[in-house]
Amino acid sequence: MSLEVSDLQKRYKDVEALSGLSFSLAPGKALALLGPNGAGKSTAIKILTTLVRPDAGKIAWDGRDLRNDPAALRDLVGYVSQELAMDKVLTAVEFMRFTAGLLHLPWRAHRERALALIDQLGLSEAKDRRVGDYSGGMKRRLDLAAALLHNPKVLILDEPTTGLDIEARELIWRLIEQFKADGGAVILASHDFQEVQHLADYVLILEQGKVGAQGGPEALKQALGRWIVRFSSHEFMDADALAAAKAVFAEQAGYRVLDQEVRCLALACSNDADMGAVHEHVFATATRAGLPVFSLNIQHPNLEDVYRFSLRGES
Amino acid sequence: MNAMIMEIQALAMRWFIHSKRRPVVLIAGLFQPFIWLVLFSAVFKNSPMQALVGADSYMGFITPGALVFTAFTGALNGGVPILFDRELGFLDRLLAAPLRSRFSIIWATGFHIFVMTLLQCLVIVLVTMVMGVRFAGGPAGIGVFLLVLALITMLFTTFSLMLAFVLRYHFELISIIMIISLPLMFMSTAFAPIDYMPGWLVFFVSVNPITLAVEPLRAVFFQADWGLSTVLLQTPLFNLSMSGALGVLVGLNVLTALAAKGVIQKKLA
Repeated sequence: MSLEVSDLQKRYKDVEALSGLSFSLAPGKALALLGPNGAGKSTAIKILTTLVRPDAGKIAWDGRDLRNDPAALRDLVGYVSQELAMDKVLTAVEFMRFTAGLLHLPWRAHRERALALIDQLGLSEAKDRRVGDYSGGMKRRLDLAAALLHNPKVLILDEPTTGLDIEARELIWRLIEQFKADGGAVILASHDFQEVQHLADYVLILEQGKVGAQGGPEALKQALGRWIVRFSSHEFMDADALAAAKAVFAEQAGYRVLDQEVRCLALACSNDADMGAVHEHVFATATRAGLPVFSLNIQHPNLEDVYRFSLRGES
Repeated sequence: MNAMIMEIQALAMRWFIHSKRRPVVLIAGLFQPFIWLVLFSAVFKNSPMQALVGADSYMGFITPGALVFTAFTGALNGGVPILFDRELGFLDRLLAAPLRSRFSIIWATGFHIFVMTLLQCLVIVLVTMVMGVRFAGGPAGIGVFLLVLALITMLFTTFSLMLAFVLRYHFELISIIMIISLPLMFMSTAFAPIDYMPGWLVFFVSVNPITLAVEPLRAVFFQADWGLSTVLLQTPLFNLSMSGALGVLVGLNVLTALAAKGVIQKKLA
């Protein structure tokens, strides 16, 4: 059993919102969609939650094509939207009951599960309060509880922890991890690299509707290099200083100039040297070339680097 | 329980909780029909129109109009909360849910408005009874009374929700409601008999769904011997019977439902 998405396409008038999105997602795994605003993440999620019809492409579960069966796709999916779209008049319990009705779950048989989810998400004491009196974090937790009520096969989360405090964020992460451990598949759109690193088994970076880099987080990081070096010769490197530094480091074996970032030059180092050796080499190279060293930062690549340089065509 | 009934029940329950927690909406809905009743009764007390009405008093004459008006305005406003849901993103929650039919949204809203309308109409009937208006139609007349309110409620709820599915913002719908509600009420026999209308208006009045709802109610309110063949309205073009009025209302409901189904398939599928 897996979710197979192939060649999804969507165009809004002159804008190509999504072009050729394909992936496969197995139970117990999480896919993260990364990309800047307007990259196509929301369009992808709206298609997967049947809120928008694709112009082309296929969505299949367990080999069954669901293109013409949106109701079957809706049965599979639990969805937590980016907006805190809750009914402020209902209490948490009433909201869960309402959700149960929409999912055709008899309340008597599912009340215990609803209350358990409310409890797991730390909302027991507030369960009879109106949702309108909830904080943003409490609303997000309740939204997740509602999305999990029918034990969906696929959980789709659109920036599920935006604006939450650390405790609420970790609570939600734990529940998502539990969902994965129980065999659920997760699709996550997020701008939070820590969240993606923590939850995702597979990362797909979208840019202007097209798929950029994709792969496992570790594989993507390794593909970028062993070390990422950020070098600046001055506090504020102007274009001339950046060009000078670029010229010096472009010729170094084992080093690749990724791009110039604001005020510094970024390099990927793919040789096996340790951090000290890399530091020593960069420092010596700069000094030999007459470049002052204002700052030198060396670290293993992280997902933010993958994202940042993927958007610049480096990965 | 049948899946569709479950989803309708859940959707309607939400609106009933809203009404319970925000009773001001229900109470405010009573003011306008009472204002019509009191003001129109006072204004037309000594007018020649008094001689044309088939009831004992003008208050009696306009009571069915006030009842239909209550159902009509409640139903016509039915799409506004859906547009608030759309604006706040809550409608996406409904559309991403595995509803057996998107028409459940219309059924649930219509059912809620019908029950609220019945409560409001009960108050109006009790107050007008105290003021001397009597219901002559018997148990079958009560059946027609309920049927007419249900038909007019579903007709305009469906129409309003259909607009709500097409429009994006609640103020657009409110503008349309403002444009169509008063002409529909005043181009009907809710407040004045058809004989009182100028000739050019008679056709519009006689095919107006408000007239088609008011006239059967007026018959069961004031005629103990009403029947399905009772002629409710005589116009130069046709005579409107009880069965004819009810039949056209049913037909209009079917046509509006088909149109709404088309809109749902195009906009919400």
